[in-house]
Amino acid sequence: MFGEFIKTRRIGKGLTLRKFCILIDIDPSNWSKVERGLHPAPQEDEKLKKIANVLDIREESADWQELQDKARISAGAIPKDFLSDERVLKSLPMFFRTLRSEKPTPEELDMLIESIRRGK
Amino acid sequence: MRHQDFKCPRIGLEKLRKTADEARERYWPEDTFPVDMEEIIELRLFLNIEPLQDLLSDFDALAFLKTDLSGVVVDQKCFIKDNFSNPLRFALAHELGHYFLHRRLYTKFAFASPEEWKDFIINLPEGEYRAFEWQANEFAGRFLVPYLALQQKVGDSLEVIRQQKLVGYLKKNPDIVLSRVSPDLRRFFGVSEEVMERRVKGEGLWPPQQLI
Repeated sequence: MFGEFIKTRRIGKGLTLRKFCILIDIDPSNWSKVERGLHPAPQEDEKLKKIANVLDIREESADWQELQDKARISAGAIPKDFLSDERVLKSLPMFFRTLRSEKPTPEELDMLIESIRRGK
Repeated sequence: MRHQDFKCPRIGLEKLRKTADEARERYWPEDTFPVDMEEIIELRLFLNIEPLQDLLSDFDALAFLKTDLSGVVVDQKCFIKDNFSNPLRFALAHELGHYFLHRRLYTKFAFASPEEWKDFIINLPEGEYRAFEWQANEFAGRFLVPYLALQQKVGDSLEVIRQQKLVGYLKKNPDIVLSRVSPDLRRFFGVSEEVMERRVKGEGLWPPQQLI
């Protein structure tokens, strides 16, 4: 909801995740989760205004109202502590290139599954 | 599909290079260097970039393409740090290689659980696995360091070799001379020294025939 709303506008403005996060002064890892609906939207007015400003959304416009509404709804959503198996499977790699050029060990694969399940 | 039936498609080097050249011409028509992988992935292919904590420290990996092909997961710390920009660029190009070369295979797999996925990865034949990775590496090298641009940059470096009176060394030990000029080359293309050296040798541009 909120995440998709912002991401569509960010991509439309030609801003990569990295550039956008520099402009709004936020950690890209956390922001990526906000856009994917895994973390709630920021609630501080100043932060929302900063986001709106970067995306050329004027205060008092309909888009600004929608941004605020979606941010509030996002805060009310209960974040899931663990992703379902179905979502974990979508996020796992088919090919996993370790820097040592070897297949990952079973222990590494277990840790990766757990890490994705917890949405780290 | 069972893991024992999982075969890497046989793609010749020329076909790999052609695929990389065509992908770059389509998605990076600017033809400037270094290639901006994040711009291509996010803004032109509309895939996500998803930073994940401890991917490098815990799993010895910089990035991977998600099984549902919706995005590329990257190590969070490396994504933030400037000094990882070159390894990350190559890692993203490598994952793009899987995307362009192997994506049909991704759609053939349906795992019922993470444990089934794990069993599949563990039992994949090592040789097939390496073949996939080799293909993605070749794609990435050609994508980031295309032949014509590389040929021109190597040509530019000949003057440096002459000025620094290294022609004699070039005949005796071309690798030493390459190590002198490769920093300029790798800076231009935004890749590591290892990738740079593999590319000039792989394309038959080193040692430069004009000077030996």
